[in-house]
Order: sequence, then C-alpha cells, then structure tokens
Amino acid sequence: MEKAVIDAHNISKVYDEGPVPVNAVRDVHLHINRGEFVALVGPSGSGKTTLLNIIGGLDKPTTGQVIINGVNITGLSANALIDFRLKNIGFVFQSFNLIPVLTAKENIEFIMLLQKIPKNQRQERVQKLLEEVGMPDKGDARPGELSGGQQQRVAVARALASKPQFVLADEPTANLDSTAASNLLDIMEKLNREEDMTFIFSTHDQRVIKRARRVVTLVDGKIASDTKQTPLVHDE
Amino acid sequence: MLFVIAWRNIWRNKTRSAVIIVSVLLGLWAGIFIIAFFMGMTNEQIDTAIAQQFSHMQVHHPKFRELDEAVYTIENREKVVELVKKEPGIIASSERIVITAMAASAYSSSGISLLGVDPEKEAAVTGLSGRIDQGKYLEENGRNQLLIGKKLLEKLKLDSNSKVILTFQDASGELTSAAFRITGVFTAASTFTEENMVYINRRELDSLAGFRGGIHELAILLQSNDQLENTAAALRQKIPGGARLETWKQLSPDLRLMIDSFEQYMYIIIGILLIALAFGIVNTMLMSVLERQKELGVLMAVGLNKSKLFSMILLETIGITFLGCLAGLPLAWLTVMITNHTGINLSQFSEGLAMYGFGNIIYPDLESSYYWKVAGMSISAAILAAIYPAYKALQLQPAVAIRKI
Repeated sequence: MEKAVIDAHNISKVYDEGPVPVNAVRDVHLHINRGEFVALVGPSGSGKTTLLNIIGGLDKPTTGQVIINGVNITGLSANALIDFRLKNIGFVFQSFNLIPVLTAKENIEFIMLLQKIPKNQRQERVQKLLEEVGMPDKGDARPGELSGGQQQRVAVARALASKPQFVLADEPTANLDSTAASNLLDIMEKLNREEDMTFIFSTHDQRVIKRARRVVTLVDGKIASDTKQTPLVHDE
Repeated sequence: MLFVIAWRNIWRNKTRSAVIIVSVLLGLWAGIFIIAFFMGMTNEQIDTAIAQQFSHMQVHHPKFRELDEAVYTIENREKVVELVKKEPGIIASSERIVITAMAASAYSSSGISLLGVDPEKEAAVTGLSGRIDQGKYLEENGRNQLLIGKKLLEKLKLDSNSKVILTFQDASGELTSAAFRITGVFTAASTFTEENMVYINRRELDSLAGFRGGIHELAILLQSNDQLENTAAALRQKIPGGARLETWKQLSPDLRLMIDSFEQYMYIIIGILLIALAFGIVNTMLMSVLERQKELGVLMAVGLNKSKLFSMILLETIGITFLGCLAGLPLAWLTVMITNHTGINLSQFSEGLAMYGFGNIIYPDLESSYYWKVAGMSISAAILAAIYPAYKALQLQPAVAIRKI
C-alpha cells in the first residue's frame, strides 16, 4: 500500500476582502501519495494556485484541514509552519523568485543554511544540485545574469536543497520557452523517478499535463475530475 | 548569509542608500561639531573666568562674601599666605584688599569693586599686566596710580590720563575719598570685569583705609585645573579658622551649573538630530520593505522564520547607519581638530560674547568618549527606526506577498 503524504479534507477558501466574497476553493478532498507526479489543472481562476498554497502551508483554508504525514498543518503557528515548510516542502514559483542579491549557488545554499547544515555538506550538495539541473558552471552568476530557463532550474535546485518530501510548483513552465520547459520537466521527472520525490504542479500548460501521471482538474474551485494517466515520455 | 543578504541589499539601490548614509554623516558631523563648539565656548569661559576673575581658588574670611563688609579680613593672614606658598601645585597667589567704592569723574560716577593688589603678584595670577590697552601697568612703588577697565573709562567719559575720585569706607566705617590718576586701561574678556573692577596698589589702599596689613582675599592659581579638588582638600585641612577656602566652582555657581548641565544639553541636541534622522531611516527602510514584499514573501515561504527576517531588516538598518557613522565620525573629528587648532573667529560678535564672559575666538573641543557616545546613540536610533519597517515585513502573508508585482 502506498504511503500517504498529503491528506486535504474539506478544503474551502473564501476571499472576502472585496465587495463580493470569492469562493476560490470549495469543499476539496485530495489524497496524494509519496512519489506521485500530479498536475492540478484548470482554467484561470479555477483555484489551482490557492489550493497549492493551502497544501504548501502558505495560505490557510477558511474551512478544512491539511494533514501532511500525520501533522495537521492548518493548526500550526506561523513560525511552526515556516519551520515545517523548511523541512518538508520545496517550492518552485511561476516567476522564479530567486533572491536577486544572491548568486545561484547562494540561493541554493541559503535553504541549507537555514537548516543549519555544515558548510562542507552544503557546498557539496549545491554543486551536485547544480550538476543535476545542468548548470555546473553557473553557480557564481546572479539571477539577473541568467536566462528565464536557467533561473527556473536554479529555483528547482533551491526547492530540492532541503531534500523535501514533496515539491510544489506553481505554473513552473509559464515563463519558459519550449526547450527550457522540456529540460525542466526532464529534470523533475528524473528526480521523481530516482529519488521518489513527490511533485505537485498547478498548470494549464499542455506540455506539463501530458507528462503528469495524475491529473486533477479544478473548475470553479471544485475538483471536476481526478484521473491517472500514462505520461508521454520526452522523446514522444 | 543574513549578513550577506543585508549588506548586498544596502547596495541594491545605491542612490537611496547614499542619501541615508550622507544624512547620517551630516547629522553626526553637525551634532558633534555643535557639541564641540559649545564645549569650546564653555571651556573658554571657564578658562577666562579662572585666568581673569576667580583664579582656581580664593581664601576669604568666612563672613566676607556673605555680608560683603570690609571689616572681615582674613584672620591669621600670614600663616594662611605661608601655607599657600608651601602647598605643591600652586604657581602663584595674590593678596587683595577688596572694598566696594564709588568712582567719580567730572561727568559721571559708578559703583565699583576696588582692589588693592601687589602689582607683581596680581600680574602672576590674573595676567593683568598683559591686558593693558592704554598706558602702563601699576608700579610696585607707584603713588596714586590706578588701573581702570576700558568699559568703565567709557562710562565715566574719561581719558587714559584723567583723574578719578574714589570714595569708600575705611576699616573704621568712616567715608574716605582720594584722587588717583589713571595709569593704565585694561581689557577683560568679561564686560562685568571691565565695568566694575578698579585696581590700585595694596599698600596705598591700606594706608588710606587702615586695614593694617589685613587682606580680604587671597587668590590662588594652580598649575592645572585637574589638581583643583585635591589641592583644595589638602589646604582646607591646614587652613586655620577665620579663613575659608573656596574653589572657582563654589565662587561661581553659574559656571559650575554650565559644566554640570553640559552633558544634558549634549544629549538633547543629539537626541533632536537623531529623532529627525530616525524618521528618515524609517521612511527609507519602509520603502525598501514595501518594494521587496514579493522577495520577503519568498524568503518566508522557503523557510526564513520571523526572527531571522526581523534580524535581516535590522542588520540592513544598522549597516546603513554604521556606514554613515564610519564616514561621519572621522569627518567630525577632523573638523573639530582643525578648528581646535585654528580657532573660530567671532570678533564681529565680540560685544555680545563679552557680556557672557566669552572670548572672541572659540576653539571647539570634545573628549573622545563623546564620539563613541554619539555613535552608540546613532546605532540605538537606527535599531529603533528599524522596528516599524521590520514589523511591517513580519505582517506579510507569504501567499499574498509572492503574488505582488
């Protein structure tokens, strides 16, 4: 039996800052197992990013609970949640969001520094990650000196630096050209396959959807379908 | 790494950081220079008051200063004078007869303090012989010679060679008058001294007033003001009853108050400057935080906890202030050193300054400890100024902040 990583129960999120409350996510139940490669898909405004943020502990649901490895993260304090994210979750954002004043190496190392990993281990892992994402010689470049695709690869390396159990990626290929997107997906698939790392994407990029093994479709904040599929391999 | 991020963030917007660094620099420079200028003025006033008016210490009959009556001469005068001569650290002393008198010319009259002095001894204590503007100084055996202040000369509408009629009570309380010719006109830093002090030979005044060698005042000059308290304490132990020794701090409570309150003035001046500076820092750091909401949201998302985020903002603020201090303190030190050497000539305000006993040239001066105090206060202000921007950063919700453009 597959070991559960994430259990989202009854998740709803209502934004009521504006004149009319917006139901971004409605009564969502989601169970994701270790090692899955899941795409959350749906049109703009369907609640993909909101659900991803709630699963990742970046946002709190209005109702419902998110339980990760037995820990109810919706009940954690802000600092406990930050600590939980640091140890368990890697994030990849649509617009890369690297720290512009740090080099590629430092951006990756920063997470490990927060985890108090010794310097020699940090440096070793940074180099390994840079090699894994195909940028062994770009470690000293600052984000502004890298292309979009290269920045996103550094962002993936950063997300993996803390050896998280799962990686949440919000529209990771949205700002990338076809080649960069394909390369990024290759890296993620490899990590998923070789290190049994769980990946959850929010996307409406067909290139990503085709390569996912499970596709959860959201419409108007509700899960419209949840299907497993045989992914297309890169060569296809 | 937090330090690295904070340091690099400082240089992200060079113009903005430079504005704050220059503000801190100018604030410190101006603050320190103003304090040094005031301290220079205070020192000048104290030095002048010691050199020309009070000396370091004076001995009187215990009731003389309180009742201001000529009958209270110092008891055991010879013993007191001898004790003072023997005390180490004392470089000069002057015996004086001090009586209240009336100085009259053909045109005007004025109440004065008439001082009977031994010319050489007085010159050694107050440097009076070096401040003769017209005429000459008193001679040891001169007759009917009188030294008058420049202001009093003008007030009495006299020439530098005129006759002056002095009227005063003698030792037995009888009114005595005598005519003196002005031998010299002296200047003093203090208007009060120039308008009120008249000097004649002590032996001559004694023979007119009948004090029989008695004196009212023994002015004492030390090698250094640093010896003041120790020498005063030693002499007090030795001086017999019928004479009381007081330091210039006791003789001039207003000067003492000025010194005692100097530090408070310093904190007030620096406090005002730092408050203005702190608002500038708050504004800049707030802009910096609001501009970086997305980045701060990412940092929180990937695991930077609130205390570290707070520390990062604090480090940036302290760093930027530290740079301002690093530039401002040496500049202030250099300015104080140069002006301490050259002096600042305020002769165009000489009349106003003289009323308060200040000289025309001010030599700014500041103890090194004040530089560190000011630097410490600046860093403290920076820490306080960082609190609000850091608080705003802590209020960010990562999910919302990351979506900011």
